[in-house]
Amino acid sequence: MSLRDVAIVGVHATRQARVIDDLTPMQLTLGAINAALDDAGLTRDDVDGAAVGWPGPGGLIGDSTSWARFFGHPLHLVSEGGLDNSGARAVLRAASAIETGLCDVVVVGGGSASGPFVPGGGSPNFTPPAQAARGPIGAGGQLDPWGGYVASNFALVAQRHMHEYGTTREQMAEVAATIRNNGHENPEAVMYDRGPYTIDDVLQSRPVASPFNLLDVCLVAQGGAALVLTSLERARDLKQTPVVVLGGAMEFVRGAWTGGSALRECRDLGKAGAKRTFGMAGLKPDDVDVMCVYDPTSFEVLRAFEWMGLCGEGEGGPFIEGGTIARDGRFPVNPEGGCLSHAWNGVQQMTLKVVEAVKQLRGQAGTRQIPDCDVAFTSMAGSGAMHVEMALLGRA
Amino acid sequence: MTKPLPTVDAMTAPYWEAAQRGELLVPECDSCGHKHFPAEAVCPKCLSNWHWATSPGVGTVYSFSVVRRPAGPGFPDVYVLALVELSDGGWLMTTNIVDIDPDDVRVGLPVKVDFRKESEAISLPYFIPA
Repeated sequence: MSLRDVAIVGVHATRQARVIDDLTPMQLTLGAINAALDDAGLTRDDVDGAAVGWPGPGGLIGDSTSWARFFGHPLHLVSEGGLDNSGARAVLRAASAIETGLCDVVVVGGGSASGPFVPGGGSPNFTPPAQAARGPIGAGGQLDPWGGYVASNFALVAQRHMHEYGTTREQMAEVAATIRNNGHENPEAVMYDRGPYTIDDVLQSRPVASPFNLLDVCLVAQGGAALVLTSLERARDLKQTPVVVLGGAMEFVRGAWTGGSALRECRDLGKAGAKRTFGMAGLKPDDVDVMCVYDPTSFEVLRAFEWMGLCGEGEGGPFIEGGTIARDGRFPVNPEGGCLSHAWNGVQQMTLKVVEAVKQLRGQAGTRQIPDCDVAFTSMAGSGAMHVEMALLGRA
Repeated sequence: MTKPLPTVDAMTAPYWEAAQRGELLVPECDSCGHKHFPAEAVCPKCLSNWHWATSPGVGTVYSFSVVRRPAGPGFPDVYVLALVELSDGGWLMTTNIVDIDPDDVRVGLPVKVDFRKESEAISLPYFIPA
């Protein structure tokens, strides 16, 4: 039994924009699902598993059980919501279910939009000022008065990393400038044509939460994405070159946002998962041709190099200096612009990582195609959030 | 508009009552002695019950962020979000460092607790340079 016997056969990224107010979340999500099924050469009749964010109204927001009514037949796999419907985590859950025979064809994805009929608001809520409205953190809201939010929690890890290892602002700024320049050239990116950026531009941008400036942190936008997975056996008869799951892992060290994020708690986060992932695949981190890794902040990319095992602990900064992560570098990162420039849209930015990895492996990435791309590493979440999920992808 | 304040509930009532007297409490495990923050239903290390212990409220800045994009309405334009490592066992507490130029805050800065009254029920444990 192996994840390698499961393939991603359809992918789609919807339009991403600061605000999408001409579509309801349902319209956006349906667009993503239908386009990913078209990409695969399948229809809704083929689907028997859904890990798709339920947009409402009615039902539990996020819970994909509500989709069962809309496929005309029973589903054999659903997902309760949130990150279970996105990115590497959803891929691994779906692949496991297909491989073990629980179901045959799974759709993953969802989207955020703010057109009419948005139950409970369609904007991502993990950023100020809406962060304050998401309910108490800690018993009785013990953490609420201190003004922590996603960017400032990731900042607590980055600041300590700088103190312990000498990581510099310039190293972080190189990450931000490189990924933002990729988005600058991608017409699908929210920040298309807004650059180009230099390291100095990042260092001179408005301070947000030290050590991060505006250009070190991702933007908030709306949009969706979807994937279709099935067995490799079935995939061989479908439209696209099958992309298989070579390996993967998930790692959690505490509930997300249940305390100020401390480097001492997440120092090893991802290391065991990466060993498991590459061991499963029979590959080394050095075999990776493109990295589609979570970049809510510039710093988080440096950490990814460390926990993946591409460099030693604390050496992520020096390792990436001098063009390592550029599209023509040794380890290209987020060639489509990542969260920093393409889109951060709530939870489906996690799925966008997989969409880009699949396009690169199929050779369908157009002007941003990484040559000879055989192995793609995708990840979601990171240090501030206290969990990480990863999937290593390749052609069958 | 004021920033969000905690709700005094059954678990945290002793903590907020002590805060009004200027005393910092911390959950200390009945079994293994581990101290944790914020309060959880059981000790996160060994899952035993815990009791409130008094902390001297002194320590050093473990990490911090000078926030210039506030978390929401009611927060100051600039504040220092911090994790303080307390001297009584090295537990980490989320707080704000005040009474210092934000640009002067450093990892390792010695600090001590300083309670500020925010409402009739809530005095918050800020930290100031020691």
